[in-house]
Amino acid sequence: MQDGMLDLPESTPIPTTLLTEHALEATDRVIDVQAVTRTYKLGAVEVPALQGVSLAVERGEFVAIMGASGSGKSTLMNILGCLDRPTSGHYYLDGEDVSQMNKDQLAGVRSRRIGFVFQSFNLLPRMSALKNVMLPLAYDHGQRNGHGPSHEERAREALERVGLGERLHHRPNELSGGQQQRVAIARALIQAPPLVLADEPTGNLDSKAGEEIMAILSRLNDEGATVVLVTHEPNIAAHTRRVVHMHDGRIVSDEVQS
Amino acid sequence: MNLWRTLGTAWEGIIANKMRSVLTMLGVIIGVAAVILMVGVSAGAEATIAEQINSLGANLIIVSSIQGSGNTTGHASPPKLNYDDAQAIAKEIKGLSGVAPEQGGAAQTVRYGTANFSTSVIGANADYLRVRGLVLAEGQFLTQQDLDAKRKVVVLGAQVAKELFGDASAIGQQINVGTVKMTVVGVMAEKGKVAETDYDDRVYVPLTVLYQKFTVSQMAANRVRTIYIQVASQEGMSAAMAQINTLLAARHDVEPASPDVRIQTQGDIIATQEAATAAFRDLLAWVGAVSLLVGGIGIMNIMLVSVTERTREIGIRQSLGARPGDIRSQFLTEALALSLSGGLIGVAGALGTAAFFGSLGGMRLVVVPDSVLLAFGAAAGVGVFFGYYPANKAARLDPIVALRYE
Ligand SMILES: Nc1ncnc2c1ncn2[C@@H]1O[C@H](COP(=O)(O)OP(=O)(O)OP(=O)(O)O)[C@@H](O)[C@H]1O
Ligand SMILES: [Mg+2]
Repeated sequence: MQDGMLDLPESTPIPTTLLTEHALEATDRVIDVQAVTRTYKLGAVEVPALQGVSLAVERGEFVAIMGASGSGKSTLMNILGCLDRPTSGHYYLDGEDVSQMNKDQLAGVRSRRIGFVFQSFNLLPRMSALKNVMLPLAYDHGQRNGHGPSHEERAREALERVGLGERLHHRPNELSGGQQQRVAIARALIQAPPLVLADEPTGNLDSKAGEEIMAILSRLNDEGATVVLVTHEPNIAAHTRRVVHMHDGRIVSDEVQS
Repeated sequence: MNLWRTLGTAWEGIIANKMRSVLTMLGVIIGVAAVILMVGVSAGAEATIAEQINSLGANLIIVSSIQGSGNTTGHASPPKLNYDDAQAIAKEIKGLSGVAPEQGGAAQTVRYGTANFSTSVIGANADYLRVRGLVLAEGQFLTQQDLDAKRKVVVLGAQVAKELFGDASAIGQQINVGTVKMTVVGVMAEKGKVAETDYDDRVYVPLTVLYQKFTVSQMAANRVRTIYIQVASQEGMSAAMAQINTLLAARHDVEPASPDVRIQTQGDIIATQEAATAAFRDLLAWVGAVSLLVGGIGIMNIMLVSVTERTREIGIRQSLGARPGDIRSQFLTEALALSLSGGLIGVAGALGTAAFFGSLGGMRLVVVPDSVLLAFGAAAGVGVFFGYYPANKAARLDPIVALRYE
């Protein structure tokens, strides 16, 4: 699996000062974030979590975002995942400006084009693994009915892909942390989204379970998905080919690993 | 999300909190059952009254003295309706098929051997049986000869006969009515209660005998409380009423425009009864409506709790692609499922109760189909109306805020 490292796609870091209309020239750019800021308002206090972030990610890249706690990694991931909108700046997803989309359109993007994996798994406790994995299908308003495998078959396939074919009817509290995160990944990949985002996916796991999760994410990447993850652990970041460092709401370094 | 999946999710929510759900539904359950049952009780009572009054006889005019009506000097004059009035009506007005005056005496103890029973004594005449549409079980009713000769004969109500004679025949037997020895000539068939009057718990004696033996005050001599008049044909009703009014006004020396007696038809009495029960019915419907309102507020309350409790779940669903509309319909469906389940339980409860009372035979319950629809529809409306605000609150949650909610 690590052999994939050898045929690295050509990707150069974009300097934060270069703020031109990349979206027009870059046809295979999945993520194109331009001068994005995000300021939280806590009553009268303004917290500038992102202070002008620009980042471009090509299709098929495997990127790790690192940085101290509070540096704005999750804030950026939420914007990348269309869970949140920038205070200013633009975010082009597949060349489409999602910073201008309304709530329904953002939900549509989340449903079909993005798989999001959380540190705390975020499974619904009352549902079986299978039901949890089926959830995104219920919200895909654009899906064609009538042909193709049923929702349940698709969910079962997704769970088999993460090695949980035997745990279909277990509830989250009947699974280990690593298994829960694998259910969450199965849920994120059931719609075969081109972009997979993972905010500290191994943060709650021991190193062995963490390695398993990384193996799955690497395989997804090998199969063509663009994967962006946040991590504090260098050995997790070592699985990726590009590491972006953040500090105080800014990108301070962006390097391709060899 | 399609409807079935939304319903399934809603149902799972209800099942997950069974106790809480049932408690929440209680208001709706009671409201729905109350509306149906109460409408049913009053509709049953109304139907019974109408049926029984109708069975009293066709083309009936009822003349009754207005109790306590006074003259202009302010002194209450005793009601003036008397036996002579009845006889005058019978003699002077054409097109009548019967005139039946009625007067009640004081309650008396009737005795036969060792058995005794306290009952009311009614003075009547020969026409009474036919005009009032009453039926004899055995023997015969009072005759004009009985009245003329003031014979000491008595006709027993069904219950009185049962109390004194059990299953044995009463005809020809001597009984004591108060202190008077009388001969039983007839026994009435069972009739039951009509508008508070128990037709089985009374005995009939000739009016003339009532005046002679059972009237304490000389003032009351000759008086009747009601005269039932049967008109030969439906067409003759209004003319007969007018003539009776004119005749009685002349006899009582009052203006025909302000009579001292009340002249009503069967229809008037039913209409009065119906107005009374309709008002009762409306009142009960309001009680049901208030229960539903309280039930609705209960649903709103529990839905708000549910939205707060499940904020994180909402955030997760949003992160997976749920639109505001999906979240709204999920919670709205849940509120609707709560209120409709409550409605169903309420309907079932009402039908069960109605069947139970029906089998007892005591109270008559008519389940009006419209009331079931109304109550069920109201439950649905309550669910949507009171579920909307919490559902909308859920739909408007910001995904990142919801996901961070502890
Ligand atoms: N919802 C919020 N409201 C107010 N301030 C927030 C909110 N979310 C984040 N912040 C602030 O924004 C800054 C960046 O937070 P963020 O969660 O993006 O950091 P992070 O890099 O993900 O940290 P960690 O590594 O601990 O997860 C922090 O100062 C944080 O306090
Ligand atoms: Mg974070």
